[in-house]
Amino acid sequence: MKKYFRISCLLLVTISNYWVWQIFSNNLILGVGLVITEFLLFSLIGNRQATKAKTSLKLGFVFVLLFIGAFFLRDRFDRTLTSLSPTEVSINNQRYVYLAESFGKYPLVKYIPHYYSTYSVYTRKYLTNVFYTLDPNLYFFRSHPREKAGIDETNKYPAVALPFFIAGVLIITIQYQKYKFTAIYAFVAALLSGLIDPGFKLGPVLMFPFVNIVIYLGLTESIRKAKDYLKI
Amino acid sequence: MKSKKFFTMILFILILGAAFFVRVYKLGQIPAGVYTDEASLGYNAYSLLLTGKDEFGKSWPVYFRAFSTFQDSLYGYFSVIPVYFLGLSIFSTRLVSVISGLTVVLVSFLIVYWSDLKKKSNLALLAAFTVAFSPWAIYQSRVAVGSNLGLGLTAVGILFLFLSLNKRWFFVLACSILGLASYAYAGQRITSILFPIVFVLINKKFFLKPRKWALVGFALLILIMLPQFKGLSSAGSLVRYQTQGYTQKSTFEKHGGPLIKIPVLGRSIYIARQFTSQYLSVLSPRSLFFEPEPQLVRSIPDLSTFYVWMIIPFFAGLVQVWKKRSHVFIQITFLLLAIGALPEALTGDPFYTLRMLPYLWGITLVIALGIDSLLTKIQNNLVKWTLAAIVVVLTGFNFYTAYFIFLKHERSIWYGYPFQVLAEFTEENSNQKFVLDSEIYDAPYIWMAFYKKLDPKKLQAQAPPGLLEHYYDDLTYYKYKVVGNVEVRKINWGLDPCQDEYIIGDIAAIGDAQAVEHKLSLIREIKDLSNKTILWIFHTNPELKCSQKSESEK
Repeated sequence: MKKYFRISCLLLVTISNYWVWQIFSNNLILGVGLVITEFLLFSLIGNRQATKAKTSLKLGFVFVLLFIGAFFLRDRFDRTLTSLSPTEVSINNQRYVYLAESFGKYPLVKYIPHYYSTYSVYTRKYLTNVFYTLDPNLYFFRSHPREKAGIDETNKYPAVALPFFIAGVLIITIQYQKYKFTAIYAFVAALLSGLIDPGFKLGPVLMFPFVNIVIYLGLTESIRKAKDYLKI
Repeated sequence: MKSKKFFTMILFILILGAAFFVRVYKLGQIPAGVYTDEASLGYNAYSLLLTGKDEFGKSWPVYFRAFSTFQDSLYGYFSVIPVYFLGLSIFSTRLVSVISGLTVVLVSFLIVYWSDLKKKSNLALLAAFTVAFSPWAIYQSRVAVGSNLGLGLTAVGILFLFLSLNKRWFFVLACSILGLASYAYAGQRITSILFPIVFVLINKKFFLKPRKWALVGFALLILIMLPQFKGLSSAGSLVRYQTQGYTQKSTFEKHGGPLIKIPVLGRSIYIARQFTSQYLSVLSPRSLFFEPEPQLVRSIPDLSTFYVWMIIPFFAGLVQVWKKRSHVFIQITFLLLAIGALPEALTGDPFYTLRMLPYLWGITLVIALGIDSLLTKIQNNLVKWTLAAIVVVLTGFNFYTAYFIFLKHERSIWYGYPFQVLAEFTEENSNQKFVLDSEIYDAPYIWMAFYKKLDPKKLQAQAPPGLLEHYYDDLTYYKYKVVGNVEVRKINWGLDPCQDEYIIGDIAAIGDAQAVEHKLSLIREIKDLSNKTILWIFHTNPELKCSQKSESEK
């Protein structure tokens, strides 16, 4: 497949979703940063050149990612990650009693209740945010049927892009070595997104470049298969 | 070679033993109490054992009408055996599910062990181990639910499908077992038909010459399922579809949103959208590996269907599925993944695990493949087994706290534990009369009947006249019953305070103001295991209340 055709496909994916317009209309700089990230990610997939060029790309990539991440962590950090609501405190206190009843009599495990009512709760809250960003329904169906209470989701991608997305995820999984950097990006973006307030109306925008790349991979592979099938 | 086989068998027996232990340990106490559906299955088994009829006096029904929910009856029929030997109890009611869960562990081992995969002994053990200790598998094996029995039967049916590629007559057995599974749970009606059809399509060259076994198999499947097809016209058999599906016009009109304005295609788009979003949600890592099922009575606190760390072997397993896609075992796994979640995708409840147990079994096999491939990559045995031991210990600890501690305390209300305490209280005071408010919870009468082991004839005698003629069509929920010394009905505030009796209700049924107004004396508060008061038992003071009433009337 020719380079221009591949870039056209990526552009099509980038501009044909609702999310990009929401991001651009809300914050132009953020939108530009995300699109740059996406194209850097794309060039790392297709890059067959010398290692030096690849390293520069990766460095540029990390820089942009850090810039966007810092921007978010300053303004949109999820403050509930460092505090407990009265309901959480109440549940913790109760659980402390249950755990102490079960484990308290053994000297070596008496710290377990403490672990469960402190570190475990915070880790869980953080992971809730991380897995929220890994939910494909968030991107295609506004989290339906598992909407998060109190969060008004917006449409991000048309449902017609879903088959390409699924194909893309399978491609990355099966050819992990080839798309290692894309997978690492998704991992880092999900971890960073876990720190961002899930109520942020634009959603986990750090995943935007990744989702686009995944749809792009699925789309181009589908076109290739269709061409092979039709013998064009 | 022989010693390796022997070693594998010993390890498998150990896994099976551990799986049995984790399924029966404190089975009668955790979950504390029984859910109303469990109580209904157990009590109807008891009723069938003693009278040959269900609680309404219907002889050997296809569905139990229960609370007009028309439960699939096979679990109840199977439970007659443990109830006969052990008596009616929480333990005996859940035992069929335990055995069914163990069957899935056994089949998981055999299906890999008899496959043509390389190094299959290790993978067979891993498959059995992963199925034995996955949260969803343990959870479903410790509650009396038809779908888990359905999964056990489906697993056996799938094993026979697998074996039919060696001996064709196994296909007939597979269809018989899958046909039987369709009586265990509504969702299995779809999968029981689709599994053999798709399996034959995948292996059509093999099954077409000679085709007699395939034809006999399908004929038998239809024959076994015939009573269900015949019953499809009754209101009872359709009640679940009507209440839980999204394809009905009324559902579209209610939830269709802007699609309602689109003529002709609007409803089709709505259905396609619902189906896709439901199907996608069962693939979501959020649902599979992190968040518990939304229904509190069907999930473990802070624990999803799989452990969080399993997301890594899951993706590694997908790679293996792709690489080994020509193997029969992978075909079977693919069948489970593609068809197993269909019943869930066809209904509106979000991530309702009961409707997708075959799918979850398939995911577990993928995870086992992934664990196997990851372990193979670690060359150093010491590192490999130390890592494995750490993961097992931490996971076991995580499960123990979530299930045996948090679930026990936090979900006891959902399993009717307070009603178990109430039943004991009413038995201790057998010469007193109790009125239990029927409006609290789904079906308090069945809890009372179950815990008090009420003579089934007494409940059958309360069935409305003529009900048996319209057993499957009458959708009325008959919830007012007399269970020994307990009347389950609405509290009559005009009459009850003037009778010498005990009135039982929750905070909404009997508030402080009502207690004062009707001169009720608080006798006891019944708490659940999280120490929250659920039921209040009041004693009436007819002399005080009614003399005052008569004076005011004067």
